Order: sequence, then structure tokens, then C-alpha cells
Amino acid sequence: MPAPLITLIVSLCLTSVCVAQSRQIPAPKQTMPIAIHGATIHTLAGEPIEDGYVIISNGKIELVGQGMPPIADDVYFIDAKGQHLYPGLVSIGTQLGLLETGATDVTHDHNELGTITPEVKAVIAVNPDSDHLPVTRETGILTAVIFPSGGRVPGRSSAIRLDGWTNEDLTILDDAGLVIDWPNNVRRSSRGGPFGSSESAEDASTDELDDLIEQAKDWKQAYDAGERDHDLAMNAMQKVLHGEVPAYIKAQTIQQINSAVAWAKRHKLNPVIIGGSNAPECAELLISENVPVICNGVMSLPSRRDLPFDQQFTLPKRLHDAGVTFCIATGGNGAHERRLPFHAGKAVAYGLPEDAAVDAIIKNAALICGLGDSHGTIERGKVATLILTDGSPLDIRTNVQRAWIDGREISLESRHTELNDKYREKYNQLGR
Amino acid sequence: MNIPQICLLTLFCISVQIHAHPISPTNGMRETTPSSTAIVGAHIIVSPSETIEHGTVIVKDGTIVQVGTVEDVEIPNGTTIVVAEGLTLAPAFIESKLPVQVVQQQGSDGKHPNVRIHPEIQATSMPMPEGRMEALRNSGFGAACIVPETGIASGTTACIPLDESPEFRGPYVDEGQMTLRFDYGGSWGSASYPGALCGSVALMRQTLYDAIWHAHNVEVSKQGHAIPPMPSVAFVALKDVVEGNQPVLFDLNHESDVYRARDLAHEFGFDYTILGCGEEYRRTKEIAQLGKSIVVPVDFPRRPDVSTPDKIDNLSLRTLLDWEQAPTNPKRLMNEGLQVAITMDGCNHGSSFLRNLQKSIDKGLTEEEALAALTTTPATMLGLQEKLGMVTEGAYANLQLIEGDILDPDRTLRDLWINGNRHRLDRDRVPTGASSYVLRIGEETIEANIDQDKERFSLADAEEKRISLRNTEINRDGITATMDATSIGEQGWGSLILVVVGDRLSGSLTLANGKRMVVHGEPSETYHELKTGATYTGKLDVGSTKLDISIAVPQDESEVAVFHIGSQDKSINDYSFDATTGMLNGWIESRDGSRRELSATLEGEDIRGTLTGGPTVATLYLTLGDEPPEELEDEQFVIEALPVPFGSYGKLSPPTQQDVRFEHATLWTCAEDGIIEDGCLIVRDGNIEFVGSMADAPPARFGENVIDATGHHLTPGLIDCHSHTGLRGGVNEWTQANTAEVRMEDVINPDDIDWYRQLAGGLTAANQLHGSANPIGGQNSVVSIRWGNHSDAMHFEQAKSGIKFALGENVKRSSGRYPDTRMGVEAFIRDAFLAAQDYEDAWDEWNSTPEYTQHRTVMPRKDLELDTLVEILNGDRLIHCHSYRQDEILMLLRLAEELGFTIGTLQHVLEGYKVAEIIADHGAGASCFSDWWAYKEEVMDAIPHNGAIMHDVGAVVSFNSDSNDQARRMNTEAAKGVRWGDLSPEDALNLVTINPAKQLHIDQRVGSLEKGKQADVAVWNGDPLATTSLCLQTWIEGARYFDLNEDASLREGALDERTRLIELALAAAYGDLAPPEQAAAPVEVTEEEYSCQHH
Repeated sequence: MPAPLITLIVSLCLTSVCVAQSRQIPAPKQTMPIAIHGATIHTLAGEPIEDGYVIISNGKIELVGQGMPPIADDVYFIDAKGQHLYPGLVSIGTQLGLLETGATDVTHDHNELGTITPEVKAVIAVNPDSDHLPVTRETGILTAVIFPSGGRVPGRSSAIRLDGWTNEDLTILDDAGLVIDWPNNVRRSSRGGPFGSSESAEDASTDELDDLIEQAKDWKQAYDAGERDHDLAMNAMQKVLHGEVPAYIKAQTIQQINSAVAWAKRHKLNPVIIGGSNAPECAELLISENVPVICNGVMSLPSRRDLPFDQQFTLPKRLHDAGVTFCIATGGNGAHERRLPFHAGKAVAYGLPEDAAVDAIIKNAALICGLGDSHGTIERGKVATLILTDGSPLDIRTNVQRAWIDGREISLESRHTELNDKYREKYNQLGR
Repeated sequence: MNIPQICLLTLFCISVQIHAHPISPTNGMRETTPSSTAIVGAHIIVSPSETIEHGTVIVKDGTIVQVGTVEDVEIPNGTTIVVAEGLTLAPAFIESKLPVQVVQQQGSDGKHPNVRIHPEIQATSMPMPEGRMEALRNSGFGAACIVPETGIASGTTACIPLDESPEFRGPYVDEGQMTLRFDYGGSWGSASYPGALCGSVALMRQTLYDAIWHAHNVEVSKQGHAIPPMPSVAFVALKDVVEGNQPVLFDLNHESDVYRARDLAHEFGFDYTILGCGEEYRRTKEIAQLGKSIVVPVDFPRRPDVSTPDKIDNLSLRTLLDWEQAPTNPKRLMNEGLQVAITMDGCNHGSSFLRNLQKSIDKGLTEEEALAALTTTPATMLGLQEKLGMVTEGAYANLQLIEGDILDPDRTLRDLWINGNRHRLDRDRVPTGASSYVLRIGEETIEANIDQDKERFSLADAEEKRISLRNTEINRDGITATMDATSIGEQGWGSLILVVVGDRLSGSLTLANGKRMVVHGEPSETYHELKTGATYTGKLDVGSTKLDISIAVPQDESEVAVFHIGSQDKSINDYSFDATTGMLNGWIESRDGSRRELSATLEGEDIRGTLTGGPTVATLYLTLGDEPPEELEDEQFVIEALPVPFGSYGKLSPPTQQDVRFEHATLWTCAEDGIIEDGCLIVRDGNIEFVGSMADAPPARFGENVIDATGHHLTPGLIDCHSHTGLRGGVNEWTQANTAEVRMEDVINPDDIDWYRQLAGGLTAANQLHGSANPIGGQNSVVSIRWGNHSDAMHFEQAKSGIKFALGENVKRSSGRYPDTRMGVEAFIRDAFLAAQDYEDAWDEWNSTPEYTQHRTVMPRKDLELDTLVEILNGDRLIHCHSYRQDEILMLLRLAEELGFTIGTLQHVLEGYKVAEIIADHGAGASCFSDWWAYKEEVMDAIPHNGAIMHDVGAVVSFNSDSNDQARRMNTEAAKGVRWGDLSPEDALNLVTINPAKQLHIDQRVGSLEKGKQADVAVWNGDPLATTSLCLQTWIEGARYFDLNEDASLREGALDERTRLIELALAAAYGDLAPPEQAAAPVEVTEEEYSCQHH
């Protein structure tokens, strides 16, 4: 057999092995109105409504109220007594759908070659049949903002709904904002003794980021005047340049946050800080400049030996107390994104008020990533992306009973539940 | 050093014959060196505690023959005299650690196959590092202990004079100690064993066992009972060590290496001393208990970088404390009664060495102790106390002649004698005499200054304006320079030559046009200027207190000088000031009418002096102006006890057991009693005395410590069955496919801050596992998380021994190494066990040999790797096997069944749910993640229901962390068993309590709240499975190791300490705080940061 053919077969085999194809069937378009009643409705736009109802029509929330909903013939009624209705959770910053198997390179589509690649856009490569999507839905995450990663400017993020036949079906915002990994001027030295500490070179320069912004402005002017050729990267910068979408800037330290905010404001961008371990120390600046924070380090270890053991657990509480607008993310790459509500729950254990924690993974998350008009609360006119639970979504033991995306009731099965069912059946057959 | 050690050291005296008649033939004329020298008039430091004010030392043939006062010592005729008036003569220092690079010869005749084992090396035959001898001499060292560098068993030390001249090079001690070192990783190429500290300990042990084995078989062959064993210079070289005839020098990298040294010495029965790393202050008390002599460096950490907010934020309290406390190291060890020598090793040159030593002196080390650590102590440690380290008759003439204080970093070392050989290191380069002259050149008068210390020459004109000079050359006789002639009214540059003749300068200036001018110089008188009409302000120190004083200097003779004290103005009678000497005199009348004599000197703008005539002599210190001078005395540094572990969250003493009674708590017993509402738990002597409902509880005893735990939940302390926390020097000895010989218990790091963080999450015990890079990994260690203790105290005694195995992708990953497939993994493990069976047979045969014939029977080699596998085969050691796929799980279980033992636990066991019935029937425990998946190919079928399915089918299941993060929250990991798998809350909590206890065979002591068990208890503010609950307290054996309230004060203490040290570092970097208008930006930012830490 000629070598190229062997290579082809091998690579085909690898591909078929590695890229999982989830077997969950996307839900059909909503055809008749639904009335969910009897549940506690956590609208996140006001006090929870005990024994409330929500009427969904054409994928949108039509009516929210208390008691029994008005009777109509063509409405499908769901009795949810004793249960809780929340807007779907929003996950920000992972590579969900771009990265299937950690150690298997051919399943990686999140990190393009080059350090500055604004021309690439996450949703282009999100695999709608990734097994990660149904797994992620298990804890009520129905919306996600996917980030490319790697390099100084990894590319543009996309907001997706976690159910659909194609990635076009998934798309909510194809360009949800530019991702920037802010330079760090201090690298932590290894845990050496006092006689062996070493510090690697500093790479704090923001020159290349300034250049990027200036070149993009210059290009646009010249291009409009017919003086320049097409340039994908420069063109991709335009939305963020005009503040239409956020610049998601990964920054942890005091200097990083301060300089990132100053830089973004100097260029009249719309910055969002992601990471933000030291954001409480920069609260005044963040509030005065109206910069929100995506806090993704709740479960991280404290960065220094002498910091309180709960330094990261209390990070959301400290942001909340300081009055900074924030939401919570996991900081993971996608496979374990279903743990998102548990991060918020941990923050509650260490002082964050429970309603603020719920807001931080639903309402504020939607708001910060530009979905505030359509997602994040149960209000008339918003999309019917909802979860019905038997308890607080923050608690690990809570089960999501049913879920709707744009009024379509989606499957809560996954590769995991299927394998569970399969082997439960094995032991059933064995009588054990 | 104790007596037997001294006896075995070969003392090698420098012989006079060698000195007088070099062995090599003389080419050309002979050189003569004085055989007898007298050093006369020096201040002699005989020993750290004895001095002679004005003495003479006579040196003859390399030895000190007489020491005494100038008056007492008669100098024989023919003696060369060195005048040393005003200088200090002291014993030359002894360097206790001079590393020499080991250069191995080619060929492998009998060499150890591992390149780090070369005990046959003799330090004396290794080349000296270039320039190091000279650097040591320039710093006042006359002798050094040379230590073969690098390697685990690196060879034998020696003590040599630091003199390259061949006739002086004979060593003082040519066979010293065997150097052992816990060396691993790095420099030997990427694939070289050992790659981790645990492997280093194992290799050292194996090598020493090999030496015993080899010696035995050599003896057998000598008697003709067998052919000789393979020749081994390495094992022969170690024979004296394993037979207790050669002491060991442990060259250590870390303070905790001391315990590894202790354990090895105990196992093999040898004596040892320590080359310390300088961080011993972190655990001084425990190191002191070993009672071993120790050599410590003074290359202290540099000031932390505080130049930006982020850099400051990066500094841990521990780093800052290291900076502050490292200089206390020698003193702390001495305070504990240890014999401590100080080495210059790590310091590039003498002044940095003395400067660092000064830091120790500033922090409590006395000069006498510092001196002893460089002279008498190392001499004693080398067994040369009669010969080195003192200026005493009979000792080798190793002397230093110094200008200035002996330990002053700015001292000048004039001469160094080594075995009587004089090295002239610093001669005067500057003309002696006056430092300032009035020069007359033609009609002009200018001023010349010769700075003796800085060896600089300068000229100034009548207006005190500096005159430009070029090409200045200065020597003992005078000066040449090119000077700006316009300053004396001539043109261009002139060439100046000046020589010192008597107390005058004489010379000429030659101008470009050929004109030559005579130059004459007379010494100028110094002139002190007391500002007339000004006020000098300061303090009067009368012993018990300090009083504010000032002196008002009169404008002219018509006025009276006034002494202002308290609120009184007193005139100074008989006031006089001598501008030449700077002396200020007079007297004032005291309150009782008696006379107080004022005697003071003006130095620049300061006045210092005394007021006498009263009950005590009062000292005064004033400076020009209205503000008193800054306090002179530095705050005395106090050596305080340091917390253990060193740094934040450490404690001065470990927590102690308390008898305590928790009332009205919800008790999760993890035993038959299930969950008890309104329960009572009584702890006595570290054990649980009662567990049950309040209704059944015995009445509280008088004085019993009762804790109202209403609303709180008590669970057993949580147990993590898969941890890599607190392991030092690597968790993976990945360099070989089988590393059964390595032990995690050798490398427990009790100071890992993650222990404390895990205690804060209710964790009390952990299974420290070797990594998963090889099919047969290292032996595990089960620990009780007793934060603040020694690693010995963490060891969980009752736990059954175990070992880590690994299957699947990780072990196949090492390219070029067998096994590379899951098929090969099976074959490799099977083969290892078969080897162990053969090995056991060989030893059985040996052990059945009658004792009286063993000395003529060839002994099998003790193999630590196979010993471990034999223990597994015999059921004495548990396998904890990293496994993923069902096929490999099945393979291992079947292999174990075939070989007749039971697997302890399957770790991770992600596809365990597919073969749960086989795991349960085999009797293996299953210790898995709650919900990890997708990070590699073999975990694509991992599901969060795994644990619950295996539990339901009958296996003993635990959830583990394998992560420093998750180990902090094992309670909520357990809760995932409720969500994915519908376990009952009790069964779910069992996943992190009694089940892992069973898997580690510690369930007889911990894992449940039952009468008689060890009181390992976690206290929660709510349902422990609730995501929003937190841990309030964690108890181990009745001692409280974590308490949220105590934590609040510990973190506050850590913050205060850190603030204090950062302020110190900032002050050290930028000087004390500048006046407000000049305040440097970093200071402001940092202060802001401090306050922000309080959130």
C-alpha cells in the first residue's frame, strides 16, 4: 500500500476514534405555547414568585405571573409544583466544542498558530456534536461564550446556545468580543529556597497591542478610501474598536488590571476583565470606569503561601462587597464546565449572598457578555431559555429536571447518562 | 567530633625536612627563606576568648614556637623581624567546606554503574577550583576541608593548607570523611536515575547494602570458598563506612535532609557531621536534638525585590522572613548547644563573606562566637585543635596580620602566614605621613590631600576649588600626576612629581613650555570650625535616662556660652575651644552647687563628649541646629522562637490534646449508628469516649470542656486516598520502569502550606502516592495531617504498607522504554514478580544455611526493589494501582489472583463501573475521581456515576482528590455521589471517611465516629454535603489543628508580619521614608496594597 494512503487511513481512523459524536437529538422548534406553573419562579428581575407561572410562546417568554396561568386550549401545561424555575446558566471563557480530548492534539481547535490572530472566530469550529455540550447541560448551563485561547490575542469569542444541529443553529453572537491575554511583568519564581530564587524575563510590553489598535484604525480609514487591500485581521478588529463588543482582557494582578483598564480606555474600547484575582484591590478604578469582572478563580489555590486559605473562595464576596459588577466562570477548558454552579456555591459558603451567587452565573453573566437584553432573567420578551430544578442550582445535589432553550425542551441525557444506563443494565442482567 | 572519629583521622604533620630540602632538584640558584621570624608588637588574638595586647610571636620552621607579650618574649639572634605595631595578629581562618570538582578518569574498572556513585574518589587527588585558594587566602583563610563535589557518594574529604607552593602542600588530614549527598535530577542527563529525591535516598541505601554484601563475598573468596565477586572500587571504598570505621559528611541541600541523614545513619550505624544549607533556622530545635556538628554558610538571601506593586504582591511572608532570619542561623544553632562552624562557601570573595557574617553579628552572634566558628570549632571538628585555629605554641604557623578589626568587612589583610610561609597580600601603596599639606609652587599656595584609605590624591586651590588632575600615580614614595596649571596662573597642563621626605613633600612641576617650578609642601594643620552664634542640639545620657540639651556658642568673647538643660540655662564657665584639636572645655554648676566638667570634641557638625563630676559619667552628643540628632543606637535585634512550619500559619508549639465534649451536634458517625440528631461526642485522651444522642450521654464531668455545637454537624476527619501533597523533590521517580525501592515516607514535607489549606477543609489523613510514570512505582506513605509537627509525627503508624503501580497511557508514554503497550505492561509486571519469587528462593536458601557456615557462603545480594515485591507476594504490602480501562483493570486483578495476593486499591479506576462485579469479588478497593473525564483518550468513557455503580455492586469505594485544590473540599466531592448515582447521604460521606480508611487499613483507628477510635473530627456549620457549608474546626487525635477563629488571628498575624518586613525591604531599598513632598511612588502604592489585604 502506498505510504500516503496509509497515512490517510490512519488519520481517518484517528479522527473517527477521537472526535466524539454525541447521540442526543436536538430539540425541534417550539410549536405550541407552554405554561409552566406551580413552581417558584426565580425571575432574577425581582423577588422570586412562589407558586408562579411562566408562559412561553415562539421561544420567548410571553407572560410571568402568580397562581394558575390563564387557561387556553392550545397551551401545553406543565405542573411544576415544588420545583424551581430559573433562567439557564451562562458559562463564559471555555473552549467548549473546540477541544474534545485533552491529550489528543487532533481534537484541538482552540489555539491557532501565531500570537495575534483576531481573524479567527470560535463558533466556526465549535463541534455541535461534541459530547461536551450535553454533559455541560446537565447542571443547567444552556448558554456559553466560547473563547479561543493561546497567544496574546487568540481571536474572537462567540456566544452559543448548547443545542442545535449545526453550529449555525448554535450561534447567538458570532462575534461576541475579542480575547486578549494581558502581558504579565512578574513571573512567579519556582518554589526554590531563598538562595535559589530566580525570576524570568519580564514581558510587560504593551507595544504590540497598541500597534494592533492603531494599525486597525489606520487600515480602516485607508481601506474605506480605497487605498488598502483586504485584511482579515484588521477587519476583525473593527467591532471591538468601536466598542460594539467587549475586549475580554485576561488580567490577574494589580498592575495588569490597572494597565489593562487604562489601555482599553485610552483606545475607547469596552473592556471586561477576566480572571481578576486582585480585582478587589482595584475596585475604585473598576467602578469608576464601569469595568465588569469575570471572576474565574474561585477554586484556584491562593497565589501566595501566606494568603488566607480562602483567598480565592472569598474573591466573589470581596468583589460584591466592593460594589464591582462581576460574574463567575470556572476558568476551565470546557470538559468540566458543568461544575460552574458549584464554584458559585463555594463562594456562598465563604460569604457571598446566595442571590448574588445565582446572579453571578446567570443574570450578570448574560449582561457582561452582551446578552443582557435577551438572556439572564425571566421577563416578558426574553428568550425562553430556562431550567426547572428540585433545589438551588448552586448545590451539587440539586438535579435539573427539565430544560428549555428558546422554548425547545432539550434532552438532559449525555454520553455519561447513556453509559450509566448501559452498565446499570449489565448489573441488572447479573442480578447485582 | 567525638574521640573515635579523631582517632581514625590520619594526622599528617608538616615535616621540617620537607621544608628544608625540596625533593625536586634545584635548577639554578637555591632560594633561601627565613627559618625564624618574629612578629612583634601586634595585638594578638590567641583564641576567640584570649588576647595579648602588645605581643610577639616567633615562628620557626612553619610552627609557632613562642607567644607572649613584647616584654616577655626574647627574640633570638638571626630572627627576621616583622614590625606589626598597631596591627592585629590572629589565627588564620579555617574553611570548612571547599568543594572540589570530581574529575573521573576514563575506564570502568570496578566503578559503580551509576555515575553519581564514586566513593573511591579522594579529594586530595582532585584539581583545585581555579582561583579559589587565592580567594580564600585573600580573605584570611589558611586551611580548608576539601569536599568532593556532586554525586551521591562522592568520595573522601581532606584538610589541606591553602598554599600552592609544593613544599607546603602536604595535607593536614588526608583521609577524612565519606561525603554523601542527596543528589538527584538535572545535571546527569535527562534519563539518569535518580530523577527524584526519593530515588536518591533509595540509591544511597542500595549502595550501602551492596557494600556490605560485597565485603562479605570478598571475605568468603579470600578464604578460598568461592571465586572473588566482581571487583568494585566503589563498594571497597564504602566498606569502612558500613563497618562504622569512617564517619560520614552529609552535604545537605535542605534543612529537612537532616532527617534523611539521621535515618540512614541509624540504618547503617555510622557517625556523621553535617554541611548545612543555611536554612536550619527553620527547624532549629529538631536539628539540635540530633546533636551533630554542623557547618553553615553565610550566603544569605538578598533583599527581596520591592520595585513594583506586583513584585511586592508576589513576595510571600516566608521569602521575606528568610531574608530577615537567615542571618540568625549560626547563632540559633549555637544557642541549642551545637558545634557550629561557618564556611565562606557561596560567597564570592572575602568582603562579601565578612559583610554577610556581619549580618549574623548584627543579629545576635557575638564576635567571639563568629571567630570560634572560623577557627577553633572547625579545628576541633577536623581533630586538629592542637594544630590549627589558635595562636599558640606548637600550632602550625597559620596566621593573619590585619589592619582594622578582625571581622570588619573593610579590614585590610596585610599578611597571611601558612605553615610559616608569608604571603604579603596588602602593602602600603600610599606614602605614610600627613594626609594634608600646604604646597607652594612659585608664588601660589595650594592644598594637597592624600587619602590613605582610598589611596587617592587631590589638589585644591586657595578657594578650595578642586584642581583637575590626570594620570595620577601614587606609591609609597610619592606621587606623579598631570595637573591643570591654569589654576596657578600658568598655561596648559603641567607634569607634577612629589616625593615624601621626612614630614615634607618635595618635587617639581614641569610645564609644556619646559618651565620647571619647584614645589614644596608642609603638613597643614587641621582646623575645626565651631559655628559662632549657633546652637548645637542633642541629648545627655545619664545612664538611666536621656535629657534634652543644647549648647549656644557665643558670637564673640564678649558673650557667654550657654548650656541649656531641661528648662534651665547655665553658663559655661572657663569656656574654651581649640580650633586645632577641636576640643571644647568648660564647666557648669549643678543644682547642688557642685562642679560638672564639660569635655567635648567637635567632629564636623557634631559635638561628642562627657560631663563628669556627678555620680556617673554622663555622655553627650549634639549636632548643629535646633533638631536633636537621630538616635545613635540601633534597636537590638532579638532572636525569638520561630513558628513551625516557618512562616505564615505556623505555630510555636504543635496543638495539644484536649478533653472535650461536643453537645447538640448532628453526628455523621459513618458507622452503624448512621446520622444522630442532637448528639453528643466526648473526646478523652485523644480518643472518642462516647458517641450517641444527648439523651444517652453521661453527665458532664466537672471542669469538662463543653462545646455547644447546636446547628453544627460533626463528621469523621476526611481522608484522601490519593494525594501528592507534601512530597519533596518530585513525586515521580520516572527514570526506571520499576522503582519499587523508592519510598514516599523518605520525602514527606510537613511544611507544605497545602496541608493547612486541606485541614481547613476538614481533611485529616492522606495517602501520599508516587506518580504514575512507571508500571511499578514507589512505596506510598499514609499521613495524619499534623500541621506544625515533624514529618515523623505525620507518619500514620497503623497504615498498611503499600506501593503505587500504574497502567495505561502514562506508563507507555516514556519513548524508547519497555513497556510501550498494555500487553507489555502485563508482561513487565509479571516478569518483575517472577524475579521476586526467584529472589525469595535465593534468600530462603541463605537463611536456611547454618549461621556458623554463613561466613564462608556466598551471600545473595539484598535488592530493595525485589524486597518490596516479595512483600507484595506475601500479602504484606498493598498495591494502589493507577488504572483506567476495564481491560487493564481486569488484567491486574487476574494477575494478582494468579500470584496469590489481593490488590489494595485501584486508583482512578475510571472504567471500574464496567467491571464492578469483578472488582468487588476480587476484594480490591476502588478509589476514584468524582467527575473528571475527557483529559485523555483513556478517560473518554469516564462517567460521574462510576463510584456509585461500583458501590452498588459491592465494592468498597472512595473518592480521592489527586489535587491540592480538591483535597480542600472532599465533602462536596462526596456530594457528587448523591447527584450522579443517587447514593444516600451516609453512603456518600463514607466515600471520603470510612471507605478510604478501610482501603488504607487504618479503619481500626479512624474513618468513623465510634467509641475507642482516634478523635479525628471535622466540625461543619451545616450539612457537610451542602455546597454552601464550610468547615469550622478540624481535630486530630483530640488536638485542634484547625479553627476558623484561630485562623482569623493567624492570617492577621501573617499580614502584620508581612507588612513589617515589606516596610523594612522598602527602607533597605530606598532608604527611610522621604519627606512627604518627595515620597517615592512605590511606597504609596504599597501602603494602599496593605490596606487592601484586609478584605
